[in-house]
Amino acid sequence: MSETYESDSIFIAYAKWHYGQGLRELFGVTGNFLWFIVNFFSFKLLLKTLFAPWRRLGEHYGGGFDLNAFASTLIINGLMRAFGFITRSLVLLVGLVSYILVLIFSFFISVIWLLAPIILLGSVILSATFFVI
Amino acid sequence: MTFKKLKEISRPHYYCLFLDKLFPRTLRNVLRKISALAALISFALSFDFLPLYFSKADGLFFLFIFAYLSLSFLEFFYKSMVNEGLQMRISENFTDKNKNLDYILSGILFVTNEIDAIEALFETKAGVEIFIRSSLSLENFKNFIYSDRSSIMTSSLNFGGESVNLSLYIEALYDIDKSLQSFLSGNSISREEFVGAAAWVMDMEQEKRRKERFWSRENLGAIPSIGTSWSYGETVDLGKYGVPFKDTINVSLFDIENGYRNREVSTLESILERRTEANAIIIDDDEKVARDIVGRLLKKMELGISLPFIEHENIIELDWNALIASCKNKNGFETALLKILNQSVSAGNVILYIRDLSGFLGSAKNLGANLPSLLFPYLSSPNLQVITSATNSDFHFFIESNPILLEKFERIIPDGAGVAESVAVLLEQAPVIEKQYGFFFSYPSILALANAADRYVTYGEMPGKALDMLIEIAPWTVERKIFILKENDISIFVSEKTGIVTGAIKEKEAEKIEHLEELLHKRVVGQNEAVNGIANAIRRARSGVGNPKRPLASFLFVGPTGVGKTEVSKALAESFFGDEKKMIRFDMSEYNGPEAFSQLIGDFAMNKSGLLASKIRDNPYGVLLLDEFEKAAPDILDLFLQILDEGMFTDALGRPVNCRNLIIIATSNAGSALIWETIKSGNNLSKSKETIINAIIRDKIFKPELLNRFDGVIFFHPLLSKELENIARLELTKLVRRLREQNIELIINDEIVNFLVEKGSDPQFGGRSINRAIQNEIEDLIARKIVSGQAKPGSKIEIKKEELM
Repeated sequence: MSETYESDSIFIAYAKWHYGQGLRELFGVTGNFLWFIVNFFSFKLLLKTLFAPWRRLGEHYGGGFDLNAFASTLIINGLMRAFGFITRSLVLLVGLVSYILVLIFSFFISVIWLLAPIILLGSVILSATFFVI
Repeated sequence: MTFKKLKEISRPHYYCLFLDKLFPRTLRNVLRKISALAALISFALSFDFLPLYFSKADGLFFLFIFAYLSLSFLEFFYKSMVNEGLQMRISENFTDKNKNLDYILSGILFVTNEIDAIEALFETKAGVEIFIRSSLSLENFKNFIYSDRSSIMTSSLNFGGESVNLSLYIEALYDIDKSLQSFLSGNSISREEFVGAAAWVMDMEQEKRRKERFWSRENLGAIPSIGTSWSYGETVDLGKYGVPFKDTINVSLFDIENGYRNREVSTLESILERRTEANAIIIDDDEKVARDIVGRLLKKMELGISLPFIEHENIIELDWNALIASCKNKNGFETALLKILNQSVSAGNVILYIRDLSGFLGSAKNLGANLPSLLFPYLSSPNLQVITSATNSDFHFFIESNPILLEKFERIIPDGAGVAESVAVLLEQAPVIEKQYGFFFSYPSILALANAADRYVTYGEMPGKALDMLIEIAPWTVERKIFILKENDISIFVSEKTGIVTGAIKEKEAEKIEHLEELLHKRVVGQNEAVNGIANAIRRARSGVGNPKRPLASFLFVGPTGVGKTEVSKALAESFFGDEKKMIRFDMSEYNGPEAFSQLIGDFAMNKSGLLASKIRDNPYGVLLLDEFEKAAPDILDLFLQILDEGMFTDALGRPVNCRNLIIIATSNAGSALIWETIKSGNNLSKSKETIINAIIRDKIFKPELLNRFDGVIFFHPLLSKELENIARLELTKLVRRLREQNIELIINDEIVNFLVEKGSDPQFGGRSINRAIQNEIEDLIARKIVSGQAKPGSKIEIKKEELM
């Protein structure tokens, strides 16, 4: 997996690392943060219990024919499920946005990483240009 | 693996070490932050419509961006290289699981001089820490490094195995370097202590680096998720009487890697994983053991490496004391408990921890409630898991007799932790104490602490008692302004705490043992053979030749009454343990009935502790004197077979009693008639010893296996007139001392002494008849003189033979 450096000088070792192990680690760490978002916002659990009542609150319908009780149970349980659904959906939404943000952020980092020599050289040249002009 | 090869594979770490040397990390970080800030400022100043416009700001911006990016890339590289070969608890797919490198070792390798492998230890922080943790002073270490010693070439180092870490490296160095060995042994540091200190330094450093990697799955996964409890119910009433288990214990301290309690935690996990009847009872005399196991399970759950079914569960401890206290009657209690249980079931993610189930049963019973039948339906519920704890005796007494509970709870009997396991736990907890109190433990001090707790603390179980001692010693250390706690400090602490002169007070004890005969003879007259025999046996036992899993020493004193058997025991207690009161005395003639056994070791049915058990627990270090041993009931003699052999017994309540710090002395008059005959016929007692022992066995007074288990059977011969004379003088000196308190001087002359020897030479009562003669004749006479005014304070009394007639 990891590079062998033997007796490379620090510059050569860095260059090898930047486009080898460093890049792999960059993707790996991105993966870790995405994994963290999935876990932190409990994606799996919330999706599985999306329509479950909020904190198991609700009424239990005793059976038989009692329209009043039936309607009340139906409404309360419906409300609890709806509340649960809304809260969970909100959290899932925030989670999804965070996920996308991490993706976008890591995309930019990856681009900077890949173009690092050009960016570094470019900034030196640009700096020099500004000073000369 | 050779040193060269090891250095080669550690190459990634070299870059970091090189960077740190050339361009220190703190400076790098400061510069990086400054360049980021400067880039931002220059960016803001580059807009010409702003009042603070600066024409060169554009150029500066790109310059600072260059600096910031370069330093950032360098830092990423540094972090990647530093962590090369670090093993994480949760593996990541971009790290190499098979690569095992030790950064702290690399630090040593790269400054190691090829012609002297040891010197580098003095030049690195880690190396110095190893020596300090081995309880060596820096000055001492420095003197050794610059002394005239034979140095070790790195080319002569060879390591077995594919990966080498700091502890293996130090082990190899120790094994090859004779001068290091003699230096360490000169400072009383063993190989185990030195290598252990290195392993401890290595573990702490690796843990630090694991925590620094905040981007690792291990650290990110420890952040609790949100919303995991939303699909579970609320537990309002449990909230009142329940405490989240994580608040009662510091989970972050547990190191699940060291393997400690692995078996118990996995068993508990698989019991809880069941769909029904997922209840466990942890049976151990120390409740801390149960808490420790549950805490370690919680740590696994937090790390996300527990079995999936219990991943989102919530362990809550039921505070049943508060519940019982707040309920006035049976109905109130039952209603409250059922509410709690119903809520826990409907919540669906509750693991209930009930401490001391038998205590809860008892308290509920006092309110008139039948707890087992209340619990029964819930214990089979798939939505509730219960973990509980009980002591061994409580389990047998209260729970085993209850089929409902017995059926529903799966038993977990934790392995008894020995000293080695306790050391692992202490090493886990020591850094926290160090941080709180600001001092350091040396590795030998941790070993000594575990050993002392095991040996001298008679109440509680390991490692609980060792941990208690670790916590107790912290303020003690701070009070005495000790910066590095050493092995010797532990001995002083234990002596102060328990009154026991522990093994580490070596010089004092060695001196006592060396001159034990003289010390004993200060109180005991004659009986040279007996005194020499005892002194020899004690020397054997304390020189380390003796078996540590037996009592310190054990003797059977055989001889007629009044010849000094008890006096020798007292003298031994005084000279060896520093106090005559360090003696537990039992008159075994009182324990010859059928109830004797339960009197001594306790009664299970009555839940009563025994006299022998509790006295030994209160005085674990001293002399146990068993007078008239032959008169004890046969089952008691059998019990002593085990005590003499193992140095341990278990009382009726199932608790072990440690007798390994006792000198056990049994006295007996058996065979006195034969001893008399031998002496009368002018034979040597030591030559007739075998005949007398055979006679004792033949008469079935003692079984041969019992006699064999004593370290020595010591014969006391009847007192000769010379010895009686010495006793008379000794006892008269005591009287002189008493009279001196009243300012009256008694002059001892040969006339009184001869009179006493004549009067007191009663073969049946030995030395005691001298005492009686002093009391009846001398003391009476002096009393009369004082009453009649003949002897006044400041006067001298000299008693003449005629007065005594």
